[in-house]
Amino acid sequence: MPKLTFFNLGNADCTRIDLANDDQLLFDYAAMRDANDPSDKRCDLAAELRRDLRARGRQWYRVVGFTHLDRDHICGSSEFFYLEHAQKYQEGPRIKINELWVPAAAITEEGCEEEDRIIRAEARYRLKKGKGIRVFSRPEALKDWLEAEGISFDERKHLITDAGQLVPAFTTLIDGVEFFVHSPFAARQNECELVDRNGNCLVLHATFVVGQQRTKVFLGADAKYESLVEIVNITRFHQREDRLEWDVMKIPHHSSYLSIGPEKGKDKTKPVPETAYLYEDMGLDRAIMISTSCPIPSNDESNQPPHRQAAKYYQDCSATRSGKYRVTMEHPRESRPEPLVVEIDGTKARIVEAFTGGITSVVSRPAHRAGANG
Amino acid sequence: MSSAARHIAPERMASEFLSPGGEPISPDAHRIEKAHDLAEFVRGGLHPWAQFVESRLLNEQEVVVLDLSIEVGQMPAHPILDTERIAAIFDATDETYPEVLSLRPDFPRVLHLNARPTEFPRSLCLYEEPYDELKLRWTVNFREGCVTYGSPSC
Repeated sequence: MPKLTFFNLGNADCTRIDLANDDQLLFDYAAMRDANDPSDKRCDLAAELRRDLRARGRQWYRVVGFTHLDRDHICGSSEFFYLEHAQKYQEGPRIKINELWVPAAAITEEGCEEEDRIIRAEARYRLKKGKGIRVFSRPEALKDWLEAEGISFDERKHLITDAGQLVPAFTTLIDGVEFFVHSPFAARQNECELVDRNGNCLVLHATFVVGQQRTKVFLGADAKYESLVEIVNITRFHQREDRLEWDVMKIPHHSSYLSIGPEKGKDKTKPVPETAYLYEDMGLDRAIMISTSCPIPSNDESNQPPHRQAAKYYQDCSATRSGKYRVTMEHPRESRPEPLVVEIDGTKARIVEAFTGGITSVVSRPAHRAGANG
Repeated sequence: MSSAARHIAPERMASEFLSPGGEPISPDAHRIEKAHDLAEFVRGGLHPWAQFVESRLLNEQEVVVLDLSIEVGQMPAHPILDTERIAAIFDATDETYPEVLSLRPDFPRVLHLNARPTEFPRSLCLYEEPYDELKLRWTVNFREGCVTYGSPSC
């Protein structure tokens, strides 16, 4: 059965999708754990992923998508993945990427100086080669970049998918899932002189089919409310409201209030009409909201997400439809978080709440043997 | 609110549940070993998906009432809630299974229920094997048995 795994990485993202046909997709890779800090409760992402791959007897993912190039979405990726553009990223036991998914900004962005530069170089290399990549949206800047490289846009357009389209090569019939692209939009990027990474990040809507049941997952990346307003308005304009419905939502930007509305609010963030439509009206019965974030604070000491006011809004959204709001660094408990797993089957989605630790050792006692004293 | 408590938010007031009978007792007053172990284990907060509610004395039996977070899909075969309140009833003789009752007054009539003189509270059938065999390795992990009530086969 299909499975989603949201890794406990603090305010950072890595979501693995295991398909029923055994293929795997990885969205973002942010190995944030400090190995020198024994109190760091974030998981060892590389170890978690390698353990799973070893069990499957493989060293590759069908797709690795980077929703954008911020550090909390790519940290450590140049050490974990086999990158084709330079030999120095090919040494050791690295994991291969069959197809790299990036927003167009990951190709066109200037000024990258750290690990973002390495991922950009990999994306550019693959696009120049014309293989092993899918680019999302076609802003003028992408056409200009291809032209500067001496490559005809027409020769590469089969590698580009725009907002409003389904990602080619994934079908519910063969893969049990299809991906609808909500963002980025070319028009938004054409209007901006500087790249707004969160505004141009890769936002997808996945529909899983198991038996006759369709389970919808909204992968919100780090979209801010302005982007979500555009997503909602454009999708409704095209009468594709079913692409806004969700059974599972990866909440955008680690429960930041800016993914709901412009003001944090005193106790609860107030949505703009479009985000209210998305979060309140489009969530289906018992919908699951997942905040890939640090624990929800009880005060406003930090301006960084998660914001308690945003969390309150999401919690209330969940409660009205008997749903669940879960935080990766609180699951199953804040003192000992673990990767959060959602399984999808004929009853739609459910959070795996398995627990075995402690029970046997605490309460199970050897049975008294017949004939033994006492 | 602790993380575990946030997961297990009872959806009803206490008065909306059925009573398993008997009188409340301190969880430290259990005399039956298995009841004591269960109450102590859950009160210790070791299980993220179970929350202690109360202990009771029912004639010669002892009762532990819990709220359990149930791993249930969004379209379950039966209307099982994310959180269910159950009572585990232990007999001092330990000659039969601890009886597990759902204290929800509208708990659905699923396939695997034990017959009782009254329809409610419903008695959950969690085990297939004889108790003499089961008790050699019995643990307090009722929840893992209870979650099957959301599956299509139950």
